Amino acid sequence: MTVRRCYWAGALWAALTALCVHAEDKPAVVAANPGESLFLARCGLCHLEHDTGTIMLGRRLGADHALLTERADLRADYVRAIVRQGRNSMPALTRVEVNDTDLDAIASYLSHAKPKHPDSK
Amino acid sequence: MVGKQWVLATDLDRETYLDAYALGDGTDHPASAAVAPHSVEEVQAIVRIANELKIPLWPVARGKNLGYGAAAPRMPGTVVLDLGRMNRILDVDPRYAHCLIEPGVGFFDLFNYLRDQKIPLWMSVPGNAWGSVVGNALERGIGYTPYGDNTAKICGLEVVLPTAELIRTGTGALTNTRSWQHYQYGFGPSWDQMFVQSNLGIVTKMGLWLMPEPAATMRARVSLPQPEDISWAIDELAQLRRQNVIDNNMVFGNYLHDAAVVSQRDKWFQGEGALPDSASQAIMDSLGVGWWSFGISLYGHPDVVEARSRIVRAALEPHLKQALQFDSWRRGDPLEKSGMPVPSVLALQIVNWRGGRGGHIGFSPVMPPDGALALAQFRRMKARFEEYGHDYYTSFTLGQRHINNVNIIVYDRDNKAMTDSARILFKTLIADSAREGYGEYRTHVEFMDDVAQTFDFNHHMMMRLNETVKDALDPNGILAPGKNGIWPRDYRGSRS
Repeated sequence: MTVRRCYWAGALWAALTALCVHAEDKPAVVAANPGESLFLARCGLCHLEHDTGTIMLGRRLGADHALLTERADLRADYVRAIVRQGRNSMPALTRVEVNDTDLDAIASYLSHAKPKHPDSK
Repeated sequence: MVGKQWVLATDLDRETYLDAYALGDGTDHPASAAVAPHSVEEVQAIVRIANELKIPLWPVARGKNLGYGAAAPRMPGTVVLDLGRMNRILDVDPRYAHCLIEPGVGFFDLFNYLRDQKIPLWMSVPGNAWGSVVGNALERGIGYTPYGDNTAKICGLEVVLPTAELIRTGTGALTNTRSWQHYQYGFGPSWDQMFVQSNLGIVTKMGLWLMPEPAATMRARVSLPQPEDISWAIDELAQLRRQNVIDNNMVFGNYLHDAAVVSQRDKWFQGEGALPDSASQAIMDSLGVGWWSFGISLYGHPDVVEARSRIVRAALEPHLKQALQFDSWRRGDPLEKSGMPVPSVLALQIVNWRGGRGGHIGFSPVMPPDGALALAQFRRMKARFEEYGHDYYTSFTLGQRHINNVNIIVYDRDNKAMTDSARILFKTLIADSAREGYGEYRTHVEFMDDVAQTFDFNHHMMMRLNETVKDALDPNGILAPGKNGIWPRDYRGSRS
C-alpha cells in the first residue's frame, strides 16, 4: 500500500530541516540489554504476558507463539517491517514513537530471544 | 543537526500516520508529511513557516485517537504536526494534586512517574490508555474515577495560536503566576474550552488536576439479565449519580464488552449478518454475564464510603432481589485491590472480534440519563445495527447529568461489503440521533462534517460563529482545516 504523495511535503522539508536544531530525544534507559529495556518501554504495553498483543497472537498463531520474548523465529528485518507497517490489529508505529535506532535495538533483541517452551520454534 | 530526522516524509512515514482502524485502507485521509518539534519555540517556528507557505498543519499529541481517526488529518495532504517528542512531565505537585505536562506524555508515562516517585495521586484513565493525557482531555475523553470528566480537570493551558503567538490561559496570563494550576478561570473571559475539540490553537502545555488517593474504596460488580433492565437501572443509577452518592462515571455496557475481550466472534457464530439473539444468549450463558453489566465504585473517607454503600444498597437491592457484594479497601491494603486506575490497552481486543485486519469506529451521542429514553435508544440502535448486519456493542456511560451512549462498530477492514455497510450505518445513526435531539460528543474524521451539520439551530449559527472566529484567528487557514467541521475560508469547498 502506498499513500498518494501530496502537495506540501517538498516545500516543508526544505524549510524545516534547518529548523529543528537541538531536538535530541531523551536517552534510552541504560540497561544490561538496551534492546530489552526499549522493548519493555515501547512494546510492553501490548506484548507482555496477558496483554492485548499477546492475546491476539496466541489466538492466531497458538500459545507457543504468543509472547514475542519467547519466540525463536523472529528475524530482525521482520520485526522492523511489522513495527513500521503494522499487521492485522496492530497499528504501524511512527519514527516519533520508536526511532530507527531504538527499533534496530528492539529488533536485535527479539531476534536473539530464547524460547522458554521447549517445543517453540 | 536533527532537522532531517524529524521531518518525516518518506512513503513509509506517511503510511504510519494513516488511521490503523479506518473504514477501508485509510488512504482517503493521508498526510503529506509529518514534522515532530521538540519545544514550543519549534512549534512557533513551524507555524510561522506554515503561514508563510500556506501549508495546513494537523496537530496530534500522540496520534492515538483510536476509533476517531488516530493521527490521520481531516483534509487529505495536511501535514501532521506530531507533538509526541514534547513529552516532558514539567511538574507534579503532590500537595495540591495537579500536574503540568506536555502533549506527548502518555497515560503510561504519567502513571509510571507517579508510581516511581511514590506520589499518592490517581489519574483518570480512559478505556484504551495508549494515547496522550493532554490529547484525551482535549477530545473530551472519559475516565472512571470522580475525576473522569477529563476536560473539566484542565487547569491552565499554554497555546500556540495559528499566527504563532503564545498565550497562557487562566491565571497563567500573569507572567509570574503562582496559581496557574489552582484556579481555572482567570480574569475576564475564560478561553480554555475554545481550544478543546478545536482548530484554533496548538496546546503545548496543560495543567491538570489529579485525584488525591482516597482513604478507602468500596466496589461491586453488577450484571443484569434482561435488556429491559436498562430502564430501572439507569433511573436508579442516575439518581445516585446526580446526588453524588456515586461520584464517578459508570460504564453501563452490554455483554459484548466481555465477549470481545475473551473471545472472537467465530467462536459463537459463523453466519452472515448481526449476531442473532440466540447466539447472544449462548455467549451470556457461557460467560456468566447478563445483557448489561456495570461497576459501582465509591471513594473517600471510610465512614463516608460505608454510608454511601448503604444508600446504594437501598436503591438497587430491591430490584436485584439479592445483596450487593462489595469489595472494601483501606489505605495501606495492597493497592491493586483499591480500584486505582491502571493504564491498559486490553480494550483494544475489540478490534480483533471479527478477525482479519480489524477496525472500529465509535458513534457516541449524548442523551439525558433517563431510563425510558435509554430503553428506547437501546431498541432503536440495536435494530439499526441488525438492519445493517453489525453486532451491537454499546455502553451507556453515566455522567452527572448526561449519558455518553458510546456504540462501537467493529469490522474487518479488508471486507468491503462490511465497511460499506458500516459507513451507511454510521450516517443513518447520525440522522436518527439528530431526529431524537441527540448530538455526538466526538466523532471520526470521516464524519465530522456530517455531525457538525446536525448542530443546526438558527440556520447553523454555531457553525457561523465557529467560522467567524476561525477566520479571525487563523486568516491563512493553516490549522487543522475541517477539524470538527470547522473549515477556514479558503478550504470551505472541501466540506463534504
